[in-house]
Amino acid sequence: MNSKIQPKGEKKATVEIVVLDDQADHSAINAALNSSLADVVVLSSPGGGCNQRALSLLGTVFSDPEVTVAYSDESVVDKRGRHLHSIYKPDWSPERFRSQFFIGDLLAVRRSEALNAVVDSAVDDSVPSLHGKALRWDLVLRLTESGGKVAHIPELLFGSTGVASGVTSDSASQVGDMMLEATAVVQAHCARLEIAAEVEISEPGNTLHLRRQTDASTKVSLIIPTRGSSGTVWGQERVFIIELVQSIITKSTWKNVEFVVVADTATPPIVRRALTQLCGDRLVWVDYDYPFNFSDKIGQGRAASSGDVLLLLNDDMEVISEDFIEELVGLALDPGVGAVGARLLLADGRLQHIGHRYADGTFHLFAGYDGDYAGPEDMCRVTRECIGVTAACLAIRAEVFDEVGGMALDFPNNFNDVDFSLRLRERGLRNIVTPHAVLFHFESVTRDGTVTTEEAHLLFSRWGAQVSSDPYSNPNLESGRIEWLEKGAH
Amino acid sequence: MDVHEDLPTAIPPSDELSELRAEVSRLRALVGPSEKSYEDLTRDALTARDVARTAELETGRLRAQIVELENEVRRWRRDFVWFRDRVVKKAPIFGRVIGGLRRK
Repeated sequence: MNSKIQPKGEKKATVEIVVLDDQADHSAINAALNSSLADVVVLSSPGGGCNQRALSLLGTVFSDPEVTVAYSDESVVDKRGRHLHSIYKPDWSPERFRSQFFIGDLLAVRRSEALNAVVDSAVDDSVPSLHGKALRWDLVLRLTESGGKVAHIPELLFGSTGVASGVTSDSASQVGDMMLEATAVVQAHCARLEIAAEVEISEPGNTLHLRRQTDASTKVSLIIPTRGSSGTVWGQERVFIIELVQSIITKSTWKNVEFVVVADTATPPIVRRALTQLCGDRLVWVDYDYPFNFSDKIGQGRAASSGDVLLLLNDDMEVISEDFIEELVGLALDPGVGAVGARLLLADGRLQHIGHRYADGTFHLFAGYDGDYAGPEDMCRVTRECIGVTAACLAIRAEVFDEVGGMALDFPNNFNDVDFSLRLRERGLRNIVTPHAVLFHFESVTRDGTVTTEEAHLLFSRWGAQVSSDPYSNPNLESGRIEWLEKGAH
Repeated sequence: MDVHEDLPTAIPPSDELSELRAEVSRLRALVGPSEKSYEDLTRDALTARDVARTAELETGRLRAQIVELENEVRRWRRDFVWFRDRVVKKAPIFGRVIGGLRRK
């Protein structure tokens, strides 16, 4: 059943809903778009349905001529239409979309542009014959490649019987077939944008992982501030920096690195001797003879470094995934990307960091949850945009670090990463966190994490509303929390 | 005078061997009964670390479950307050039914 609405007011775009079969192919979408006279077509699934408010809001959203795609939050219902749960989505996140069709079943497209994209897709020999969700995935990628804006309406405008991440009532083989088509779709998208990446299906089979291929000549400067501290981890005494460097040397598959160690004068001399033995001529030693200031130490390290990409590392860490440098650097080299963060685990394997959330406070999202926690709509399993990442493990192109002027010296201990991340976003760069780069972070073993009133005041006076409006969270979720919790009762 | 008589006499091989044996004994006394036992001790220390690590990771899994359950409890408590304020207080019949159920 198709329905058409002319929203009130001249400037609003006309919107039409077209219900397509789950396995709709090019010709079905082409026919639907061609037979419509509306400016905007909502490609809906048979199990879905949206309300009159949706059409009105879409009409308003598409009155901006640059908007070519729009999506909204989603209410998942059972077969009798009863609400089961809500899916709250982030604002447009292109990196996440390469890994996951997170925008769900309400997909509104500008008809004129969509027609061109469908034709392009149909004649493209690099992708197989596409159906259903994989075809929509392809359509949205093509529409965004040509510069189209994507709008997110943070309201429950429609109900569906599926979920965004592709795990629907469909059989496992149907999901598998769809993901195979999606792999080809994203691979072709990477080829069109000249992104050197190998696209593969991630465990448990409903998301994708882009393994970016980086030129081995790219030199990475690992900047590690330290004072040569020791501590007990897993019942054994260790000198943190030595164990970290040893784990990088023995586990990491990326060899083109230099170790820029910024050491307080209190660092025991034996630590330097041990590091010289471990790193040889790859060690760049920087003596730091000032009161502790993390930002300044990073700045001093940058000044002594010569790499194309900087990888800031706390010394109380240990490598888990051997390709963590490739993963971080591959993303950092994307010209639209600012800082790239990793999945960091505490000594007991729980999550320490999988991206920041700023919502009436700054939070490590899902801190304390299981290290393999998938998160709402598998958000912890995909590489995705986030508002900020921790400086405990942060990769960034050296030129970008210089352009923003490094980290702010007025945040010597806390919030330097928050301020840095927000400054990168201010420049139009996207911060990314990847769950595929994994390290242990024995947080707070070596550091006093107490936040002073001055630091908090300075952060909020500098950034105001920006630390309360996270585009990769959702306004329908409660503020002040590390996890996704719907506002009010449901 | 025969000049050769003043030259230091070379240490016979048997003496050198005994000196080396003495040095090895001295070093063994410092390290432990044998190199093998030193290696065993190192291996034991690594095994102990791995056991501690496994135990800590297992504890972490349980701690993570507690964190998730605490959040669930908070969510249900909040929903209950909402339900009580919006529904039960406005329709006393529900309050009586719930009160009856609680007494049972």
